[in-house]
Amino acid sequence: MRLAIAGKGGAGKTTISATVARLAARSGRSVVAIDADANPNLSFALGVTPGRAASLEPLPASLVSRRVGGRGLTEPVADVLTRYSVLAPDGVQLVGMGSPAHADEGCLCSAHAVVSSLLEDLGSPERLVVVDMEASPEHLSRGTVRHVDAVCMVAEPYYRSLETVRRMAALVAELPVERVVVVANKVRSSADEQAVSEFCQRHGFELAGVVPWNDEVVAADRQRMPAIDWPGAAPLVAAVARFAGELGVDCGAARPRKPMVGR
Amino acid sequence: MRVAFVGKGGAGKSVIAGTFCRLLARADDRPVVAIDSDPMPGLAHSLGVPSTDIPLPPDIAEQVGADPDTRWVLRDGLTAADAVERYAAGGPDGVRLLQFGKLRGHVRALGPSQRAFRVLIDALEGTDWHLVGDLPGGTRQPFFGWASFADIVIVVAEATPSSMLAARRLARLAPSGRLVAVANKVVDAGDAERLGRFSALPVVGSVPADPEVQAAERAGVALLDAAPSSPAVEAVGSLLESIGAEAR
Repeated sequence: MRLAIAGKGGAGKTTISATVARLAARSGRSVVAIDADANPNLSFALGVTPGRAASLEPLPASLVSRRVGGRGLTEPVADVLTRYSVLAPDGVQLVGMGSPAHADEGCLCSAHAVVSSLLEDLGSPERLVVVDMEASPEHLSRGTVRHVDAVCMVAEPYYRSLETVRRMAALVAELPVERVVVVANKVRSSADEQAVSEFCQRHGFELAGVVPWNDEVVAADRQRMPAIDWPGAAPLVAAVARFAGELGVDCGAARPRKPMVGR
Repeated sequence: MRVAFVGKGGAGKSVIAGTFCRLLARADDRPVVAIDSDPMPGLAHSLGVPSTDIPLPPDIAEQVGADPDTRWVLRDGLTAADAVERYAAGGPDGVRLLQFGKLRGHVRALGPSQRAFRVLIDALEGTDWHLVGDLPGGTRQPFFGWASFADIVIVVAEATPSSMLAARRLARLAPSGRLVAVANKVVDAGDAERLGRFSALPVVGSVPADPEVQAAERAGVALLDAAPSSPAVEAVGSLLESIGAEAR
């Protein structure tokens, strides 16, 4: 199961990606989390220590070559994971796309190509792959995520966020992705939930989850703690577990464990 | 003045930029051009412009000169002022909104309109008009030179780790002019100080967390129309004054 998480900047993509990844890993799945944002933040949300996050090497362009039938990884995907992933709490393997370090470094086309090829080779029913996308629609527009099984668009209940989801959905529709769902985030009231629900009905989107607003998530973020390791954020974690279940990623066996941050 | 707003997605760039444009237009007679380089919808709503998808006709730009010294300029006979009058959307307070259109398919499809857009912005540098840019969230566009028209690049950030981290990454930008930060959604006095310390940027403004902003966003209405005397609008007014003093 390969799941891409998209949405407007600030909608909560990274928090939801990290929580899904850790929940699934706790329930015994093999989990790979890909930070596909040129401005990466997933390591912190997963609870990777800063020292270990600093050792995360971006995937080099040389990992991809043209081969019969199109682009592909030049090395077995298991070797790529061994070499380029860092271990996050609960056993999640984190991989980073890489970002431009300086102005005028050129385009990110090769970074997109590597992520795309990696996703292609990571497909396996037992493994969960979570791709935390950047707000920019480039991954959708360039088809970087054509090899995922589902795209989840995170929507906040306000106009611009929903408009972004609508436009992103139009881009996803061009890709051979089987399932596209919306998850409502930062829902403060029944009116908020209704706004997203009506939006989904109007455009024929499946609303697969509703995550309530929770001040504690903000508090956890400010303390650089993953939501899943912050007791007060339990309502968010529960909502994400339900939503993951809707997508066929059963997190039912998830048991609270001692936070692994800082070890 | 020539400014560009950058920062992490969701930091509040468009709300601040849109309000900034309109307050600037009210305070000064020279035209204000709001430059929206986000291929996703954004700035129009914060300005109060109804239409959100106004692509620039690619044929306003043409290639001149012989190989290898060809370059793109505005089509013969077309001035920057003409192009803006013709192709920018008119907004409240006389603000002109310039866009290259919104993404519908492969990003390549936007290429010609984006080229026309950059040619027009270059041409606007020869005017005395105000240019206010609102870049997409993250580090991608700023690092690829999309804020190069600005004398002052303003990094908008919340005092959260991810937002401040984006600010610190953006601090590596080397603009021709100045790079400053604005603290947004500020909840306590320490926020601006934390942002300054973490990003190593001078913090020239501080906009409070304001429920009026949230309400305006939910209603899809420009903040300045929804809550003209809200604390957030006042703070953007102060930001305009301090940037204006610097730009002069």
